[in-house]
Amino acid sequence: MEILQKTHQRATKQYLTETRFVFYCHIKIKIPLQPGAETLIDQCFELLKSIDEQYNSYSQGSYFDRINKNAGNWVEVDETTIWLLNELDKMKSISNGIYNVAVMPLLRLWGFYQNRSCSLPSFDQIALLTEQLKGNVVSIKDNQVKLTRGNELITGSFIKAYAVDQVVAFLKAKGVTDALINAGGSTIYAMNDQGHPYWKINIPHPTLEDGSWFQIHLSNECLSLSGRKSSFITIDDKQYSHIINVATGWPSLNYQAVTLTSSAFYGDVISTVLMANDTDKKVNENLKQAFKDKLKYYVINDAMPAGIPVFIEC
Amino acid sequence: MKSKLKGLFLFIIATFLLGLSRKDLLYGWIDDWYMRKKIAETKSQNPNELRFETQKLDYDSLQKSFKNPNLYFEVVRLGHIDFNSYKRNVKKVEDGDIAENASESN
Repeated sequence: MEILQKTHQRATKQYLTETRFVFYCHIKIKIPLQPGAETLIDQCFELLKSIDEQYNSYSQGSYFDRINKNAGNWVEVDETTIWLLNELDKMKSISNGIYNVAVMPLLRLWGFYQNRSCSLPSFDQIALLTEQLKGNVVSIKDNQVKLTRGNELITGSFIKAYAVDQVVAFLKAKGVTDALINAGGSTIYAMNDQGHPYWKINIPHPTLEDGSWFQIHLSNECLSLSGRKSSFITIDDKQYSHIINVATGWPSLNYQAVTLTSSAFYGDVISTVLMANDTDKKVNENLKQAFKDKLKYYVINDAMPAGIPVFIEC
Repeated sequence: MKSKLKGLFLFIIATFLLGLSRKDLLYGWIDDWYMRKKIAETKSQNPNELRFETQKLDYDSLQKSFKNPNLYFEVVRLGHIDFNSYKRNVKKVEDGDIAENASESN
């Protein structure tokens, strides 16, 4: 009897997992091993694939691709695209223009997303683009969207997270209360119930390569991580982050930003804002007010932080 | 003896047909078996005895060109191929205690 009890205590719940390449990253879905789990995972990936095809700016024929290719003209879109653009516009206001969904021309100016040797852009070019992006480059009228000519939208900072939110809603509707969705490591959504109160998540160091920095317990919320350790461009032996402060036009000097939210979409956008914001202290206050009781975060400004960061609760 | 062989044969056929309904499992076994076989073959070879294969070309004086009478394969450039997209989707079983790694990279 004693042996039986010990064996029972050691038994852990089993989960079915699958990883597929969607949104140009590896997405892992982990749900309890039970009848129908295989089909459920397949349906989740179908949902992700469908959102990737319809809304990713890199997917040929997606709403965002059509808006970009028809810049200067009105393009008919669906309700989701309108909702996304409206929410992103709010984030542009909250961040005092530090975040902008139309950042693509600035990224190209700095040499990202193109195969050419990099040189420092001229101050005039940077100033011209930041001035251009201060204005309203996206117009919305009923179910139509018009992007001002010479601009380009990029969905990289939010579309994968939006898709994760949809998967979470789908799993909840199917009665799943315990699951994990890891989208490329930078967006991790934990669903938990009483039987499995949290998932363990290893956070990487902002600059050092090896191993994890510290571990957190994630429960019914999403972790979003932005950093510059692996995504940067080197110009004249100096590394520049791929996350640009659109208000200044310069790559951010921050090293890492992590958020905990109940929505992956807002989590990813806010972590991008926090990462990009290396100048305006008021922006973080704006975020605290706009997401009161809904956001925990930390930002690493120095290459070698003194200790493990403490999450600020809004 | 004959009926035993027949039984064994039917068992093999049944296993194979069962395997067809779990194609991923069957292909996984075949992959594993082939890899083990290749590794064993490679290990059994003495590196000092390995030589490049030589092939003799015949000269066609009419066409003024060389011809290779041996069976050979030409290297074909396929350009950029996303081999990840050809990988079969594999489901695995894990327990809930495994820590997940956050990362800034995709």
